[in-house]
Amino acid sequence: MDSPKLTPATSGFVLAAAITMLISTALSCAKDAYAPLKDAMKSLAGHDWTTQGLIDLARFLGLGVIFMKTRFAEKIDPNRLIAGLIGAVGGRGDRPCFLVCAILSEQSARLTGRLRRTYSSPLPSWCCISR
Amino acid sequence: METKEHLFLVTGILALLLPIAAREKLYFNSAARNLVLAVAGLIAITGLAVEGAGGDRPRSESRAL
Repeated sequence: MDSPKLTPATSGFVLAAAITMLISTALSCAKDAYAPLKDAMKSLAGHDWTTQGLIDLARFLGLGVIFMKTRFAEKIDPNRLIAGLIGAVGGRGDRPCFLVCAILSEQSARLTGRLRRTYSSPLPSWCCISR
Repeated sequence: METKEHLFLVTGILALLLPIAAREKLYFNSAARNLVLAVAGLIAITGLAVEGAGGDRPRSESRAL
């Protein structure tokens, strides 16, 4: 029995999405490392992230249409395509670690603020010279 | 690196991909079903990461907390 296949459009756009994300990561790193590139992107659409978003969109749609027409991605096993997509998304700057750190830091900042408000200094305000 | 902006762009691309993947006959095609599940899961994770990143607070406001 044949394994289930994806249509040319779906497989093409999945491959296009994975490639877009990888190139977008490389562009972001290059932008951070090389200031003139960031300035050039800023001058194109007003903000560097706007330019990058537009480039990403154009690349995704362009590559998707090319892969769909040439039926290139259809030859790749669907499970490999899915794994590639997950790898491209997950590989962007150790995301899971960032997610945990971001949530923890936000929660700890909120908790610290709450504790400070709840247990404020018992000393009267005139004692605190620094204020 | 501005990670939140990265994540936002990824969510956009995945959100564009999801309707294309959902056009498959999901009931009969297990690969398409897995793809839709994976894309939806990635959108959820990326959304949580953007949410977790929060906003940039001014320094004075951070001190007030």
